[in-house]
Amino acid sequence: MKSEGKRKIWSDYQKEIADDKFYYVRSCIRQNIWPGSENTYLRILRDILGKDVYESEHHTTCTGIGYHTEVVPLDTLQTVVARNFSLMREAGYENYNPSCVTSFGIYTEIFDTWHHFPEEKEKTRKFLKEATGREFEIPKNLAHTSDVIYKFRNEIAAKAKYKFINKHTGKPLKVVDHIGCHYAKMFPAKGIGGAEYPYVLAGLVEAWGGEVIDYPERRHCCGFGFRQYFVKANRGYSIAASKKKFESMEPYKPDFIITNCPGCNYFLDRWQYALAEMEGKTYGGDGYGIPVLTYEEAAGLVCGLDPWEMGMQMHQVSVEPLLDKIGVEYDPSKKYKGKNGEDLGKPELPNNLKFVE
Amino acid sequence: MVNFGYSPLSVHIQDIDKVDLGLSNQLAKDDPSFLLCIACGSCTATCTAGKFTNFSFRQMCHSIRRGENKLAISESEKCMLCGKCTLACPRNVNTRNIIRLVRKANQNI
Amino acid sequence: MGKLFDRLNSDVRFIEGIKACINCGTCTAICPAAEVYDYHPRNLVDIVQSKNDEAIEELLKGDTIWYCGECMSCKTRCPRQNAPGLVIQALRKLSIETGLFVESEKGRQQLTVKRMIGDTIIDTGYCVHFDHMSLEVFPEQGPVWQWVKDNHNEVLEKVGANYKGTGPGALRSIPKEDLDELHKIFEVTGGNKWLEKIEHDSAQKASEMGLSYEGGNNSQYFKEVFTRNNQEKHTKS
Repeated sequence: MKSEGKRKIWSDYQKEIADDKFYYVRSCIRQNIWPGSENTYLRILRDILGKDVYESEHHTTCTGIGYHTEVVPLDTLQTVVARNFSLMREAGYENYNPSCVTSFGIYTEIFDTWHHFPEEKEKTRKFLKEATGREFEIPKNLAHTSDVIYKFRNEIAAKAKYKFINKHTGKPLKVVDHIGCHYAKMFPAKGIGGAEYPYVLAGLVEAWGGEVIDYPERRHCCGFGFRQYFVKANRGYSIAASKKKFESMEPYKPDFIITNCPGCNYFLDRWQYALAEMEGKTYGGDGYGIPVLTYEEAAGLVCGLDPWEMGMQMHQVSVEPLLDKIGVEYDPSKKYKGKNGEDLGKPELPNNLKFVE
Repeated sequence: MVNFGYSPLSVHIQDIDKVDLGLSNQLAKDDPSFLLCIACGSCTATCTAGKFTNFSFRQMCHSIRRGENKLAISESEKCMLCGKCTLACPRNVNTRNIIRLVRKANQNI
Repeated sequence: MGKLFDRLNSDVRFIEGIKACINCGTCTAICPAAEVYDYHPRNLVDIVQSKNDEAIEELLKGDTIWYCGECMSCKTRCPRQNAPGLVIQALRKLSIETGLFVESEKGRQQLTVKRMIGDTIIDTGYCVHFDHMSLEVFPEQGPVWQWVKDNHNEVLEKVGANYKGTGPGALRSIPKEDLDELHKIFEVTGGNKWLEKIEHDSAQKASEMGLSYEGGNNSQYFKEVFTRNNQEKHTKS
């Protein structure tokens, strides 16, 4: 089927995304592992697109990872989420904008629960009042941060310094996307393109000159599985799922992986290292592995932001081969320097995975 | 190689491009009704042998389609050939004959 | 209709998770856990749907319900819009409520996630925290993470984080008044009781198993449940 035809069929899976005045909510995993990506998002929205993005220091985790590891009960989860909604109302905003796919999934699940079981919502109201004296309203608009980037993808393309085109061959870069299970698998209509033909990241890649590969295991889970990763005894499950994806994408020779979910980004990056060290196998042909980018990093590159200010030195799979293909101007000597140029030493080299120091 | 204290599991993962589908293809040729199975499980629900063992015709067909031939052949040994499943099958799969063919394939190997 | 089934049926996730299951097996076919464990969501839903309390109790005591990764891939493809993943959540809740979770190897792992995630939420307001993510516990983070840890102030400053700072920003310290509200929510909604129950039942099980038990991650029981993996048993099929 031609991609045009696919797009027509999936027109059901388009969603409303606010165009300004966002209430930004951070992700636990993204802050911890990819803090530069969150900063990049704010820079793009505020400085490049001129949007109003508000961030409150008072919000907490949604407890989603706790909920999915069964250490936080549903009542607690719903009330913590309601508190975050209450903070938004207090700040005078209506468009909730989480930076985490697990969180986004939690919100879609809670909205659905409250729709089918209004008594759950009333119970939450009561709990929140009792615990904090607060009231809450359901946000007018819920959009994941990647939804917002998707909405403005053409504006970003118009200002692009670089495109996803191989500088040496002039051909589009081949990109595989991974949108993360909880973005659309639970409620496909809440994600752009749904779960089967996810378009939220594919739309970015196409708008910025790349070519998306619909490889066989595109929809497979990265293997996080919450307890399946946190508990060491279960990690064989976790790494097996990512391995299945790598094996499936390898024949298509992707230039990079773009991810929606901070956790998936972590696993697709780190499991390539672990597989190289455990089994001696590297994916991506040249021994460096396949670079894994958050959508913020991808957008930032297109806008010409400095890779090291975006935190791309925090990847275990080196991004330099990709930067060179795109033709990004960057200073290799600054990779392991501090903000003021202080020398921070270098990470040790892995045994098997080639790594740019 | 580094030992992380775990390694990727691959227990039930079957790569359909790589597994041996010889038995599956042979059955489709010898008794095309094999292709009609929709894995509804009516056969297993009605199975006499299944009352006393964990035999499942549905599971056996599934194994054959996944190229797990050895497993399928050993499963086929549990069938009593009573033929009740043939009556229950909504797709008229000749279940009893399929069992016979699987066992025959075993003899030929 | 048995008692355990009634308790399951009072969970909204259970009500949402099963409408009439036709046992087609699409969930098992798509399931990442079914690839690596002797785990069949089709079978599990069939058992639960039978309303047989004895069989449900076996599930609550066993490893099976803990194999799922809650990725919810099953929900997308189910032709009846069921969600075995939600059924799992209801079963796990009941397993903890009844204390039966300590009866299986995978269920006992609840203590480790309670300490790694639950306690972190209470202490910091984050599900996971930079300070706790050591290479010892997560070796797959690789040498680059060691470098980040060794130079955390400089690296985090460079990428625009506000590590342990005041005001908004990545990795900021969450203000005390907000943590207080969070704790109050945990108190009022039963979150604290839940965490205490996991500790309590685990401590009891540890003494039954003759393993030392204390806070942190050094006791024999913690190490046992964090690393024990009887893979042969989990994949016997």
